[in-house]
Amino acid sequence: MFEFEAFVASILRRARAERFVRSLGLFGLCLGGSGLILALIAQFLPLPPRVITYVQIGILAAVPLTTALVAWIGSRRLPDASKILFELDRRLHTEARISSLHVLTRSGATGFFTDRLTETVTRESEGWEGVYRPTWRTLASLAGVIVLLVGIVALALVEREPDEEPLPSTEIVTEIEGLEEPLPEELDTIETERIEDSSTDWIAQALADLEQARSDSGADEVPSGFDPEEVELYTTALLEELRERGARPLSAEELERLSELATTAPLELGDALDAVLAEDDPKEIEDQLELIADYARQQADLDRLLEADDRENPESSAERFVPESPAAGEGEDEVYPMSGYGDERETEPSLREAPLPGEPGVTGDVHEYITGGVPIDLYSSGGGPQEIQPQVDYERVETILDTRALPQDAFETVRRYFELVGSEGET
Amino acid sequence: MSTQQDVQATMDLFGRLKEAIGSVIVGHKQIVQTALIALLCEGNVLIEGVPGLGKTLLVRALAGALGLKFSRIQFTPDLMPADIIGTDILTEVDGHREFRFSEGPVFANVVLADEINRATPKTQSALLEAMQERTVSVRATTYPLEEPYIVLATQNPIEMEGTYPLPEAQVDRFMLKAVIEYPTLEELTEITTRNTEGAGITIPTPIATADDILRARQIVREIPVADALRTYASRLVHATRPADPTAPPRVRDFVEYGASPRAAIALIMAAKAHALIEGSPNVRPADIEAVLEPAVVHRLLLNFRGEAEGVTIPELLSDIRQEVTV
Repeated sequence: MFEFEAFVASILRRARAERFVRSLGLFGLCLGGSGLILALIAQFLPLPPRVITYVQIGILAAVPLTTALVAWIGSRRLPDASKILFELDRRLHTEARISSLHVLTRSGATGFFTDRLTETVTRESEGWEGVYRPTWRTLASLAGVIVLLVGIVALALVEREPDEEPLPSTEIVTEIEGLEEPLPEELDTIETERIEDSSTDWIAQALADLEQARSDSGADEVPSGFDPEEVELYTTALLEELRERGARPLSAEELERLSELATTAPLELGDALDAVLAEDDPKEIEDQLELIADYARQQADLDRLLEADDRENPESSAERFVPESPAAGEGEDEVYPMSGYGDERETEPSLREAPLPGEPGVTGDVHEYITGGVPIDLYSSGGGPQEIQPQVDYERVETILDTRALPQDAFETVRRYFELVGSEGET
Repeated sequence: MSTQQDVQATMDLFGRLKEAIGSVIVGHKQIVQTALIALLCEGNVLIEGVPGLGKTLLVRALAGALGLKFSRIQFTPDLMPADIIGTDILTEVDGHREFRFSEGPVFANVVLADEINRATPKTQSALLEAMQERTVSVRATTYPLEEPYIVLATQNPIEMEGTYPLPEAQVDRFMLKAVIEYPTLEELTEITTRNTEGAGITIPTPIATADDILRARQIVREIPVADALRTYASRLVHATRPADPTAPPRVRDFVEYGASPRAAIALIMAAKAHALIEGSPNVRPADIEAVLEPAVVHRLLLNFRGEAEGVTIPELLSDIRQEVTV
């Protein structure tokens, strides 16, 4: 018994499948396009393959996958039975008999025409499945889509080998992109962008190199074991004793203690303590101890403030300011402690501009007490040794500061300091 | 629902009708088929041809073979509508006078409107209601016409002297139009033989009844048409309109007015009847294409450019058939 309804249902299923397979052509086109874009990115961008992230692959894959989804939804949508049946009529050369019988069965008509058409369709529709048999071209297209799919997935999943060729240099980048020779600032920008675009390992390596470079330059030398409160207490106690009992040379124990403190103190304070150790004049010793005690007190106060500030607002801990140095210009051979006594690592990120407490002093053996390497030349402005004046060579200062890799604002602070010293010294 | 016997009987009947008419009319098989299709579809036929080609004889042969009430109206310029549909006449009945409706020649089963375009448009229009609604209204009374009813009108080509072109509304009410051409040499020889020897032309005896025709009409309506073919017919008709984007270039250039929806109805119905006559249980694309010209040709109106360039409507229909595929 020929069941026309079942016959139609099976035709519609085949037609759906055929429609889906046909839509794979478009899917393959989109997939091929995405794969081509991916390959071009991998081939021509001066980036390691892993820079092409899964997100980017997902975006590229979205186009063909959306097409496939639409094709699948379209294939699930109910097809127009009358059109499909008429198309089958056309392919089977049955002169619209199948679609006419569909019209009759749909309307529930019975009678001669229904019977006659059923009989005819039963006979003529034998082997109708052959109409929907996929062609070689369709199969080849399907195979191509599968190969493309597998290839793109494999490309997406490939890992970068560690011994692959090194990153291209900046010069290669400029050659590829046809740019002119970049300026130094542009090189910095390119370098920065490269770091930002690279993988985590690559960035970590770059940061480690940078850290090493900074460590080598000595920019982060921090005295360990320095306690300004301890210096303050000892020098204050010693000063009071000297004032109570009258000026006198320091004892061996006192010298030993001061020497211990000098070993842990920052460079400039250590120099000041060393100067006290070398001083024979009790009066000078008393004056210098007073300066050192004042400075140590200020430093201790500042440390306490910073600690309190850190506790209240940890985020602002990066903001530091230049500590007030001991008053300068009070004696011929006074020490000029400079900025940088505290933890340079903390103060480095954002030094605030602050008025420097130091004042230009008079001439003397200045070059012995100022930071080592600062170029101060002496020149004679007239007759006699008293007319000899110090003068800072700023070009050499810049060169020296450059080698120390100071932050720009710290650089400016130091420069300003020396400008003040120089201008006052000239007057 | 029709049984196999009904359908088979109808097919046989129409086979015999073609034979009977063919025994009188030499050639013109296509015209005979067109007339039979119109009869099956409750339609009317406009037959065009120069005088002397057997138009009237064809209609008389058909009416004779059908055994139906036949009337002939010879259209002349002075023919009045009342001469066609009838009129109220003052009549004395049982001693008192009253108006009684006297039926005109339109009250028949098969009406031959001979040389219809020789009458004035006013008289031509008197047939409108009868052709479309199968009724005749006189004053306040409407009279139904007896089924089966068919009007077969003949007309001379409108270029001839003393003709009035049929109004478009009138033309549109003819389901099909057939053009009778001159017979071939062989056919002409056969015509002379039949008319000059023996008893001459004899009208066939009735071989069908009104019930046969009505049953055949019912069967025709049962013939299925696939949705795609119904759409195909509509697209063909749509393409006759110059404003339609699917219309062929020549249609856009040379056609003033395209076919009306009546054309699409006529096309489907004629295709059904054609399928039945051809013995097919369903309408095929070939059925639609076979009746496209008779169903549509008289509904297209050429524009001035088309007339001036001598474009014929059958040529345009050929373009449409090539342009619009199933």
